[in-house]
Amino acid sequence: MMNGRPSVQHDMPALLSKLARRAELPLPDQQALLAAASMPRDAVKGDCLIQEGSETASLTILCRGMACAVRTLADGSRQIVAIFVAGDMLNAGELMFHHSRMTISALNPATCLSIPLGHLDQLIANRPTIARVLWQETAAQAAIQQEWMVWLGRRSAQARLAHFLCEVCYRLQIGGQDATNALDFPLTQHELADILGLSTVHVNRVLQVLRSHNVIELSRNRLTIRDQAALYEIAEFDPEYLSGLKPPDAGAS
Amino acid sequence: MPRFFFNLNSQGNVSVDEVGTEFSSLEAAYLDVCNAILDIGFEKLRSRQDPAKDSFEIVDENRNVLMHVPFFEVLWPAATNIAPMSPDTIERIERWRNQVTRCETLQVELRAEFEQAKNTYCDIRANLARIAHCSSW
Repeated sequence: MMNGRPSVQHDMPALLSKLARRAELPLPDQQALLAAASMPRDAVKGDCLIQEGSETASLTILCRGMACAVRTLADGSRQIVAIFVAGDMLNAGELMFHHSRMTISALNPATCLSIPLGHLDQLIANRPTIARVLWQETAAQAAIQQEWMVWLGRRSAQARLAHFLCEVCYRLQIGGQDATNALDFPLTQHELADILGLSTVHVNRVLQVLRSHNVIELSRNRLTIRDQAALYEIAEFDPEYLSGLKPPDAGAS
Repeated sequence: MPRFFFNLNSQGNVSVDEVGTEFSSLEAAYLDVCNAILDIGFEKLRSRQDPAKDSFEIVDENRNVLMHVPFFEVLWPAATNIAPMSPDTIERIERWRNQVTRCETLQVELRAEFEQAKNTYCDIRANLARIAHCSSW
């Protein structure tokens, strides 16, 4: 769990703004979620937000920052199996399991909001929109996982990295980060290697190639996409799996 | 953590790493380079290119080359890892090598002797010709 860092005073409605914007969550439902939530918690880079094997006691929403889910293998190597950006739920799919199956850590300064399962059950029973948002979140994360499986299994190192950069950039922009092509990118080359299933030096080489072709610039935790069309082409990136979710009212019809 | 730079020498072109990556030690950097060589080597083979002559240079922040890692060292480890020879074999090779040297020395000496004999023969022939010329007077 988190290391009990003292929380600064938070603007509570702002904490949900990214989730609310992405999921088109009406204001009364936002207020109900906030009323049910525990105190927000702050974390710094490397802090564990959810520990592998811990009991699933609450739904955790990432309100600020980025996080990654990690599986450590028997030989000590790591595979990052998911990335979360502000507005994502960290464990929507895990709620159906007794225990968390992976460790989720903060990649940069982050803030989380937890909703205890007892309260969440009541919200789901009384507020169909919240139930639908949860369903939508698990569907969205499943689509992302499927896309990762494709590029991890079948694509070259360059296409993998390009696809990942396209995806993260797109997700950050949906979540409300400014719609420019320069964004905060806290991942190190080692973390990219653990995501892409490559060695760090190979990631370094591929970054050099993309840089030398003036497609991207990555330095000091800042990613700039200089040629989006070229990056999309290398990645064969089609954002349909990120943008194609039905709006909330479409499901009711 | 120290930062290392990884220059790739591929088919005569050196691609200089200007960004670098942090590693806890040179050993950690070397082990990661070995994995990178496997990845990059297989990618090149898949696109019908030969990675055998490529190599990585591990460079420190002052641009000193710390290590040179040829791809073949990783891709064909057997080529650089031949079992050590027995003392008996080493002694035989040494003996044959000495014999070869001796033969070469003898050959040179023989050639010199032959050359000398040839010169002597030429001198004798010249003298004989002179004698014959004198006696005809």
